[in-house]
Amino acid sequence: MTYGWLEFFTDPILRGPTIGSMLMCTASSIIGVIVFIRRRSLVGETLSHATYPGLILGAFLCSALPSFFEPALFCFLLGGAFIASVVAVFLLQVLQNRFRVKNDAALCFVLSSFFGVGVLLAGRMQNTHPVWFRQIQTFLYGQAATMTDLYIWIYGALFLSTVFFVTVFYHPLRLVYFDGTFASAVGFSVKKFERFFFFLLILAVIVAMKSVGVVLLSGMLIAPALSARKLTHRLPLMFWIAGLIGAFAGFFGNYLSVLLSVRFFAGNLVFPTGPMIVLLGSVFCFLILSFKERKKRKVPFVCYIEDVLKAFPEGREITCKEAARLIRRNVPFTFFLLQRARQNRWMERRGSYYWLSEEGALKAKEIIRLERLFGVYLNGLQQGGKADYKSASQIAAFLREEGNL
Amino acid sequence: MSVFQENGMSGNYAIEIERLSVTYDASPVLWQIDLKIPKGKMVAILGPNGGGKSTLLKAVTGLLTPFSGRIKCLGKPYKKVGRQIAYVPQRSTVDWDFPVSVFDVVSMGCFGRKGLFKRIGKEDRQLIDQAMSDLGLTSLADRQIGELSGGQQQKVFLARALVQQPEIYLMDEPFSGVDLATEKTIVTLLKKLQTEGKTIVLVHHDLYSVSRYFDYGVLLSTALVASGPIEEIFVRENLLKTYGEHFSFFEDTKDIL
Repeated sequence: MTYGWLEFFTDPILRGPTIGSMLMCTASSIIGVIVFIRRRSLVGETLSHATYPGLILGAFLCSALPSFFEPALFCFLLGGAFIASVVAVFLLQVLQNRFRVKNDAALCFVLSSFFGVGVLLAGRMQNTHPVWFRQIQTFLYGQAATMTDLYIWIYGALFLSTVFFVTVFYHPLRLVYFDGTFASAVGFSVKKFERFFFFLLILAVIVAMKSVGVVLLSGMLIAPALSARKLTHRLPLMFWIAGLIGAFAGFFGNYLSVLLSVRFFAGNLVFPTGPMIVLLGSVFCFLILSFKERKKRKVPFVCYIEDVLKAFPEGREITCKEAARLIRRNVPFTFFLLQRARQNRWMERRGSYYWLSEEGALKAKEIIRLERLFGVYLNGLQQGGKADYKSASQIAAFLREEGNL
Repeated sequence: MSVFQENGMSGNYAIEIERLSVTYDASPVLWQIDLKIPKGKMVAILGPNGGGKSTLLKAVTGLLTPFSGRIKCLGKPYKKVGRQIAYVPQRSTVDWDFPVSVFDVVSMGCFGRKGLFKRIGKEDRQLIDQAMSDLGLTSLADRQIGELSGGQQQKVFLARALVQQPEIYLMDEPFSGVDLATEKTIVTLLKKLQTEGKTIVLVHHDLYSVSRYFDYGVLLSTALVASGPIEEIFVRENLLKTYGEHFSFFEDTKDIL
């Protein structure tokens, strides 16, 4: 059985999970940007874990209802999660303000204690309502596959309200979160926005719970925002990029999950959607990070070879291991550099011993002289041009006279 | 009833403070301050670390709730005239990794006047451009705020204050970590503002430059030691009272006074 791309949006079984996850991931990524720029990444993690006891209490409450139907259970679960995270926020504030607990300690405390209570309650539920217990477990790691068209509407509404909040409150958000002192000096209530922030965060947690799951959720909040931040320093663009990455991860998480589970492993090995989505987001983030970092410190490769030549003692024969110690690099890399130097005829070898060729020795001298001259020149520039050579052309002229260039 | 009404001089003062006390937990940071700052002056707030200089500014801008006392700006409570006062906090209070550009920060100055949900209009745009070119920031408009040097960062916050078009400027240590050239540019600009009739209040640390830059001073050490024109209050006795023994660290007091 194979699926085309389009079928993921039209097929009555597939479209629920696909569109649902995409909406959720986009919404949570957008809120993730706010969480990220506020440097509150750990708060997302804490609040998502804190929902666990709420989920189970919600289910217990629902079991007290005379009749059962699924949307009601779903609402009870979300309601329970919402209330639990509100309580968690409250507890965080009390810990920090009343008891003067440091931020990170308070977060750890709330995270583990709430999750612990959740696990305890879950143990009880496993005996009394085994079916519901299994359903709640899906909230832990996410399960998109059971979403129906109804969920598209629910999550569509949540998505739209997220976008609405962010666009309407864009300027206040930026002002208050960038410079709270200034904001309150010109008369905006920072406290209100702090509450608003937690409201948005809880919204994001609840939105993303079903697809990605409580445990993995903060990855979905932070990975797109982090990638976006690496790509731009413009806040509006950050929202767009993070949203797109979220949608991308949401779609391909589903796509790969179905493709791998159904097509390649014929159902023998299940690839759950939630982890797939988070993994895709993380991989994407990692790619962007490494790409950006490598671009920054790009040293021309020849520099490494020149380092070897400079450090090599003249007229002596040394082994690769010794050379590695001289240039403070690992042995395989040094070996590779030595081979490249040999290709350029700067280095000669007999057995495991290397020495500088005549050409190599000359080259080494030239490099050292050039570096010293430019050192003098640059130093002179920094001290206001008091160097022996006042311009690059003078240095070049000197070098030409010496016959080295 | 109050001091203000008795002498009927309210109109001439930028800031009037009556019996202000501020406490953190149980210990007082400001104690029973009575202070009047006339309009159109360049004012230095001086005092030792922990002397309550920043606290005074924060109390004036309503960032702190005072333990007791009354504060009036331009003859009215702060809340009514808040839009006419620009507060430039210490540089260390913002997150320098935040994704905003220089232009974004300067344009934030508009929101004080207009409210948060209005768009930036043509006039605002002109104000922003003017403020940025006054401080030589035009070429840096698109830079992320953290990529600037300390002096440039300070200039950005001053530009934001300019865009607010206030009557009173309150600046918390604007010269910390700023080189002499930048300090001069900022001072020149502030003097220009003073000639336009604005009141400028700075928390200042460098005693050597006080008499060159300012014409009015406030000496604070939890209690008010002295306030008035620099020539009158800047005497050895007052400085000793303000800085206590630490004043003897400034060896050649002749240079200062």
